[in-house]
Amino acid sequence: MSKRRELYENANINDLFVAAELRNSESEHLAVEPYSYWASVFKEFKKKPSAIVSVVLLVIIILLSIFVPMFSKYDIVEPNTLLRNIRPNFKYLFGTDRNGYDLFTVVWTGARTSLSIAFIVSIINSIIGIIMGTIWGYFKKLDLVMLEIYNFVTNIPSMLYYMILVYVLDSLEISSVLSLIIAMTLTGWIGLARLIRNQILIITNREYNVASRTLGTPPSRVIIFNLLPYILTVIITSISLTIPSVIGTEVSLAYFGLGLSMETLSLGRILRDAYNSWMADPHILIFPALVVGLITIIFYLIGLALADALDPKTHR
Amino acid sequence: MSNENKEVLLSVKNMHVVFKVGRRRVHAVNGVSFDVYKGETFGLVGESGSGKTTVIRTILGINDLTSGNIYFKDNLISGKLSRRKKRTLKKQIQMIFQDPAASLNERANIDYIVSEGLYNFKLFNTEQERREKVVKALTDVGLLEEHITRYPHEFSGGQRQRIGIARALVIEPELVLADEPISALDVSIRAQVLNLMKKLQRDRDLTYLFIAHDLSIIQYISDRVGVMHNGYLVELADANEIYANPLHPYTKSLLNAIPQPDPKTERFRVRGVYESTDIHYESGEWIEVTPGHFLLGTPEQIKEWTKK
Repeated sequence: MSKRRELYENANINDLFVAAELRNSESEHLAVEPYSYWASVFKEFKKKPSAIVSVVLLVIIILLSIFVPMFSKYDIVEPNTLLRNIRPNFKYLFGTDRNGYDLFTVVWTGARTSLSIAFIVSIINSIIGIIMGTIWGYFKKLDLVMLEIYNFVTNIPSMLYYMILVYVLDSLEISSVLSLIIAMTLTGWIGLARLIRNQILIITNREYNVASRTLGTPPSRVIIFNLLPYILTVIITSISLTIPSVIGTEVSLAYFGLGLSMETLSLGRILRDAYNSWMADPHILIFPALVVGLITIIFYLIGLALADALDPKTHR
Repeated sequence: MSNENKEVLLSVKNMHVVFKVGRRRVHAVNGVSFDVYKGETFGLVGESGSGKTTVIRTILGINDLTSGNIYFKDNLISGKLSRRKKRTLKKQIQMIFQDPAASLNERANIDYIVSEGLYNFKLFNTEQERREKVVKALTDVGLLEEHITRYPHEFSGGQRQRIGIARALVIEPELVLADEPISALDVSIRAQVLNLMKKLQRDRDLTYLFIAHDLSIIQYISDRVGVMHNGYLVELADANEIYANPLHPYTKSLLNAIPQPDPKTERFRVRGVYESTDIHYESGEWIEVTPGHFLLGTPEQIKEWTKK
């Protein structure tokens, strides 16, 4: 008989096992790591290569449109006929246009104007849209007025409406940039407002909102803590899609000769100027068009990736 | 236990609730009357669609009362109320919801969820006091202080329901309406939540209006039971009386639908089939057959049901 066996035979059962104490608090303990919403959003966003590439490109585009106009060694004020329509080379990366300006400098100066307008218009439209949309959704009686306004605005072709507005605003003594921003923000928020109103109508009678009302939570706090966090996905996606659409609108307006004045460079104006001579010198059209296309695609991809990442259903 | 010398906390008188669905009118609750005494648990049973949830939602003012009156502590609380009165009522009457997954705000942490009522009624002076109240509410329902920063979806169903209980009780209401609080939970943790509710009731002198579709649960927790069917309250009596001496055929059919955990009795259990077409509730009267035992029916029906 081995020593071990002997020990076993002689041992008291109480020496071999110690009864575990039952601790209630132990069973309530959550083993998983604390969940953080924004950390999960970031993790999910990082998973998409297209999103990362888009963000990197966006940063490059923003940096270029800030610094190229500031530090460019080329002058874009005095036309120089000797340097007209030079093809792209190492000295002039994008070539030169019909005024003899360096197209690289011209395009990024235009991009700066277009992007600034796009950001300003998107921010204004989002703020008004979110505020009006939540109030509209929470107080259903506003439907009587708001739906009529919505129908009225959306039934007019937006291009026609912008053209009239820009034309009217131009007759006032304000800068063309300001009149363009006013034209696009006067009713531009109503689409987002309607979207938010619909989302709020969908979730407002969910049980957690009924619970908040039972607890006597005032509407302002219900909107901020119960409703807006749930529709954040929709809001951010919508904002990231309005930026390229504002740039698109500016380009289209410029094509009709409306919008910004001749001395303000924008992507729309550059494209319009290129329209006359692109058959002979395609680079004048290609480079600004590439930049417009790139901006549109980048914001679209970022918007898609954000929509997925912001949705808590995709987390883990 | 005689009911005469007990204080009536909530009194529902001839409650009618009619919903308009397009052009159709749906009678969800038809002339329901009952009293809830202070400190008791009043159970309301009935099958799905019998109108029990509508009754408590109407008490809370979530649904509109079509006709009838509701009194709380002898004050009329139905109809038009001042803003201030509504607020005090909300502090006095709270609700525990059926589905703990749907009734908690998924985007808020436990700290905010439990504090919501405290913020609404300004029940604290300092931030520290608020936190202490939240931690106490959590520990009272068996949760831990560390849970304060967590989000609802990290918890199990039973834990979530206890968060719902903590949220309702932290503002110290007098009457708690519980809408099938355990029907969405695992069978294994139902008893845990029921026992917790009983314990909290003893400690804080709470009054419960408890809804369930399961008579065996109602039997366990209630002092008095009302049986609802198709929007009518068909029988009301002490819990023991209902189980020992059910009179209405619908109550009988509900009772003999409960499975027995005993093979011998289970084998001979006869499940009654309830023929509601024979009984027209609208022609019935609400009659007290023995003290505290009410029955809905015409005099002939009641005579037939009460004879041995």
